[in-house]
Amino acid sequence: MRILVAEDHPALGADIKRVLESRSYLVDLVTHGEDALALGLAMPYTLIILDILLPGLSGLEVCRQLRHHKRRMPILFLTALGSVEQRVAGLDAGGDDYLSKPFDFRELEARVRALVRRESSEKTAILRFLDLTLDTRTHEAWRGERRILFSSKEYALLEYLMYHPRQVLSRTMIAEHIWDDDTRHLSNIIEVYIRYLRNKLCAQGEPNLIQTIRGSGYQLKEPQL
Amino acid sequence: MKGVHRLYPLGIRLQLMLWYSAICTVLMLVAGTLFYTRFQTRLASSLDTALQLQAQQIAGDITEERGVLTFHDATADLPGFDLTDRRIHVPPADVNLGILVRVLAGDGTPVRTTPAFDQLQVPQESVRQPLSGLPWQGDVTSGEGQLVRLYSRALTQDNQIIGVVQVGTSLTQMESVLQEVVSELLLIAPVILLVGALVSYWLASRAFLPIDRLIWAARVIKEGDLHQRVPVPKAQDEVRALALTLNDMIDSLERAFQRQRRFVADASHELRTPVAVIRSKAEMALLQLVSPEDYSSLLAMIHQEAERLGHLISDLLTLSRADEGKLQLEREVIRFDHLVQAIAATTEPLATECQVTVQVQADELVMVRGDETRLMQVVLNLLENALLYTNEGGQVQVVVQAREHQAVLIVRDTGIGIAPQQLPQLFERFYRVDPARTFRYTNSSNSGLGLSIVKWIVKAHGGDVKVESQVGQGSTFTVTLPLLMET
Repeated sequence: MRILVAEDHPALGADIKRVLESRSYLVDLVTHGEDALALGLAMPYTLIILDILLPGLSGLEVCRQLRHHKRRMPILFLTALGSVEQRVAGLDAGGDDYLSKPFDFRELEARVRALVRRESSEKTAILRFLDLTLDTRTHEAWRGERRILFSSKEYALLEYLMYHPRQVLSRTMIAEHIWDDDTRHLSNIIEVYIRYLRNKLCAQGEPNLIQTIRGSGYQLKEPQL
Repeated sequence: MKGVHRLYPLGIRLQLMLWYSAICTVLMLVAGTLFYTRFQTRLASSLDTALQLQAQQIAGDITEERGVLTFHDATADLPGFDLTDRRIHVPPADVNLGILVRVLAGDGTPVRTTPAFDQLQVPQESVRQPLSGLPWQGDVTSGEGQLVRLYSRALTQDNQIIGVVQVGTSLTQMESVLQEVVSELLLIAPVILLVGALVSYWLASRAFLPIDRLIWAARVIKEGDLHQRVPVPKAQDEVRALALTLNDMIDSLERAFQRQRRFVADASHELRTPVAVIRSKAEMALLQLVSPEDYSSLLAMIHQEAERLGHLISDLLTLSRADEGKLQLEREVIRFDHLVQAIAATTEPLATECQVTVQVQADELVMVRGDETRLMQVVLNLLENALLYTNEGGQVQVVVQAREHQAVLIVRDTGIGIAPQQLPQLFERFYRVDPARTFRYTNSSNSGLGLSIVKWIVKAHGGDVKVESQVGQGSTFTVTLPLLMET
C-alpha cells in the first residue's frame, strides 16, 4: 500500500511517515501543494493524506484538481482548524474523511485502515480468503489454526494481494505498492517474496493460493484442482 | 536551549574584553581588600605600640610611698592630669584633643584622671584584669560616640601591683586615613579597569589579525578555483592548525567536486546512449520505411533500451539517496542461506541463457540482521555480474557459510577475470572492466553502478566486500556480514 502524505509541519510530517511505515505502508512525504498534486497525478496511490494549509497549493485545491483529473483514491484531510465550514469544504472538495489536529496516531491508523478497506470488497479490519486470515491491525496471519510470522515486506505483499482477491496484479503494480521505486531487479525480488509467501502459507501441505499468471503477474485465487 | 539564546550575541572581541575586565575587577578587589586589611592592622598595631609605650612611660613615673601614689616629672605636662578629687570639673572642649590617661590605686579607685577620660564608658574589666596581672586592651566609646582604643596595665613596684594606669587614644584619625585610602582606591580602580578594557580589546584585535588574514584568503577561494590554498603561517600555533585544517577541507571539497563532476559526466554519457538508441529507432518507425513486421522488433528494441534507462535511473536514485543518508534500512532477522538459495533460483533463466552452470552451497543455517530487499540486491548484483562475465560452459559457485562472527557469501566464477590494476577502482561508480562494453552487453541491464550499490549496502550493514581475481581464470567476490547469533 503506497500512501502520499502532504504535510508541511516538519516534525508532524516525519512522524506520520514513521508511524505509517512501521505499519508496513510505503509512504511518500511532500511539503508543498504542487508536489502533492504532481505525485498524486503520477502515481496510483492507495490513499492520500492532505493537510489543508499547504504552502503553494492548498490541500482543498490539490483534492479538487485530483478529482477533476479522475483520480479516485481515498483522500483524508488533516485540519488544524476543526471548524464545521472547513470540514464541509474538505468533504465537498472530494475528500473522503477528515481528522482534526491534534490527533491520536492510533486514530489516524484506524482511519487509514478504514479508507483502504473502503476500496476493497472487505469491510472489516480482518481480511479473509478461504482459510487464510489477516488482521490488519496487529499484522497477524493465520492459515486455518496455524499462526504464521512474516517479515515486513512479506506481510505488505500478502496484504496487498488480500485486498485485491482474484485480481491479477502485475509486477509493476506490486512494485509500486510495496517497494520504493529505486529498487532494481524488482521482478526477481518479487519472485523471491512470492516464493517465501508460498513456502510459509503451504508449510503443512496446504493448497497453494498464489497463482503465477505467466507474463502478467500474480493472483490470489482458489486452488485449481 | 533555544530559550537561553542571548538576544544579541556578543562578538568574540567584546567577549574577551568583558572576560579580561571581569577577571581584572576580581583581581583588583582581592588586591584592594588585602591591601586595606594589611594597612588597617599595621595602623592599629602601631597605635597599640604607641599606647603601650605611653603607658609604660607613665607607669615608670609613678611610685608608691606608704600607700600613696607619687607622680614625678613625666606626667606634669599632661593638662588637667590632677588628683581626681581636687580637680574642677570642666567638660573638655574636644575629646579628640583630650589626652586620655587615668591612674587608679590598687583598690581600683581613680587617683588621677584627665578630663577627657571622664567622658569614656570604661568597662569594669579594664580595671579588674590589670589588677590580676594581665594587661587589658580594647575599644570603648566616648560620650560623643567616637571610638577610643584603651590600654590598661598594672603599676608594679617590687613585683607588687600598686595600681592601674589606663591610656587611651582616639581612633578617629586612623579611621579617616583608612577612609581616604578606600576612596582613593575606588577612584583609581575604574580608571585602571577602563584602560585595561581598552588594552584587552586592542590585544584581542591584534590576536585575531592572523585569522582575519585567513578569512580574506579563504574568501578569495571560490567554487571555481578550489585548487588554491590559504597561506599557512610558520608559527606553530592555533592559526597554523586552522589554516592546515582549512586546506584539508578545501582539498576534500576539491576531490568531492571532481568526483561529482566526473559522476555527472559519466551519468549523462550513460544516459545519452539508450536515449540515442530509442530516438533513432523511433525515428525509423515514424518514417514508415520499415515493413509492418519490423515494427515489433523496433518496438522491442525501444522497450529494451527504455528498460535499461529505467534501471540506470533507479540505480542513480538509490546511490544519491544513500549519499544523502535518506535511505533507511530495516533491521529484520533474516535467514541468509534461504535468501541466497531463493535468489539463485530466480537467476536460473539467465544462467540458462548464458549457458553457465550455477552451483549453490547454502546448507548451513546463517542468520543476519538487515534489510531483506537490499541484501537480495547484493546477491542479485553479484550473481548477475558473475553470470554476465563468464564464458559459455563456465561455472559460477555460490557459497554461504558462517565463520566465527561473520556470515560469508562467496560468489566465484570461471569468467574473464579482472586485471590487477583495475581492482582498486572496481567498486567506483560507472567503472567498467571492459570500456568497450562488448562482453554480453547487449543482453545486460548492467549500469556500471551495481558494484557501487553492493559496496554501499554491505557497508551500511556493517560488513565488507572484497574481490580477488586473475585474468582468464575468474573472479571471487567475498561479502562478509555480522553474523546474528542464535539466542
